[in-house]
Amino acid sequence: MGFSYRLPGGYCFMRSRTRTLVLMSLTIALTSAGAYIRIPIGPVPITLQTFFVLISGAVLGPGPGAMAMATYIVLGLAGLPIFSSGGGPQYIFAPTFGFLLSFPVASAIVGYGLKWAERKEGRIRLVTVLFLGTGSIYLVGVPYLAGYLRWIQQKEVGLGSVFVMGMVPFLPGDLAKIAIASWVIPPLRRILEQMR
Amino acid sequence: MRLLQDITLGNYFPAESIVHSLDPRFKIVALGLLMGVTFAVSNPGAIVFHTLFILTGIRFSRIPLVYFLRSLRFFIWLFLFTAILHLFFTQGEPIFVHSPLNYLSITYEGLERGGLISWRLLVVIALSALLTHTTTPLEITRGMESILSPLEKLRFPVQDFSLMMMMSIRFIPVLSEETQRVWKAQRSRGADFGRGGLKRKAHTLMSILLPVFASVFRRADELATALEARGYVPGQRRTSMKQLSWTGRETSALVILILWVTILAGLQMTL
Repeated sequence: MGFSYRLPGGYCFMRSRTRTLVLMSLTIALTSAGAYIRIPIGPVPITLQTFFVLISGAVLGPGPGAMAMATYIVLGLAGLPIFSSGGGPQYIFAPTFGFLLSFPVASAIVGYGLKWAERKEGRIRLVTVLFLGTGSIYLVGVPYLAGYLRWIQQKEVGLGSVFVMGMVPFLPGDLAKIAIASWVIPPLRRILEQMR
Repeated sequence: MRLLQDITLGNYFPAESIVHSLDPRFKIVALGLLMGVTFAVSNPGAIVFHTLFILTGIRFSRIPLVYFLRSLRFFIWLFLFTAILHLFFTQGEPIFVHSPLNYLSITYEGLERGGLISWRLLVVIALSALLTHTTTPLEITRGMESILSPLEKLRFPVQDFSLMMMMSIRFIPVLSEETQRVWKAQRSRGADFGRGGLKRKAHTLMSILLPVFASVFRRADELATALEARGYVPGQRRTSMKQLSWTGRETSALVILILWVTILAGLQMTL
């Protein structure tokens, strides 16, 4: 059975579409749980949300990974309390909503990148891909924050200072998440290899 | 676990009221409409009337106002942020000037604009709380599925989408169950969480994370097999135990809503 959520170049990882759907639901649930796990390191408490975003791309591949993350956003907006401070349609007006919008992008990047990373032994390529994925979260989230300040709050703030405000406090946490992800993904792929 | 219940039940507050029993499809459409209207209206007088209208809706839901205030709690930082931003950084006629830091002055314009935007945000949050307090996540999912179903013609996989929504709701308790099981198993083997340096902590984290992943992926695999064995075909229309029903009540509620939007448009122009 073919899988239809195929972005150009996306690949079908699981043997059937039902299996992929179940796995997608599982990553949505993991991301939801991740939003509630707070680790108080550094100036801002980090959540495991973005960690599971990286994992979702690795587990599902680019197409289904992005689709799962998009469903996560829709579920949260529909009122399930699965975002880091609850959920509901009002989240569109939260300044950090852009970070949520970046999840499908990051998941797709990790999914695509992993195919490239697995062609060569070692972790350097894997870590590079994870850095790119994390980078894309800021590339979408920070401009949204700037746009939010500008249009919703009607304030002019330079993009540079928004970057400092919305990115620097999270960097230590992101490094830790990339380290853990690069450690977990290879064995995880082996588990999935056996399962499909 | 509280967390588990929090997520699966959402913000649902069980009660017997008209708002609770309305069709979820109507509630979702009404929410979208009223939210749009809230941001379109700029006249302060009209906004006051709009707020009163929504308060009436809250009254009809028979949910104590305290619960609505509680859902606002999450957004306190948003209000603070808005207030500070506008109060101090808007150009205009100053009320108060801090002499050494000239830009830290409060202006009339800032007060007005900040107040108006915060007020609108407040109304929008109360509106969404009204939906999530009176409708269970499952009902919302069914409603969304039904609203999105025309998209099936555009080959958008609506059925898959709604199955995924329901399964992820169901998976969250499984996750916390498995994590607790592994955590207890590792403790009984003498694992000591919260001690040691960074490297040791990373190791203990891994000793939880990997077994949890392995077992939840196995559970997912079993679920997929069970679905396939029971004849689940992806993308195929499924029947539901609870049917949604659009009755005269929903239609009249929609008429009231449209009337209100028209009145509000009038108020906006005349006030």
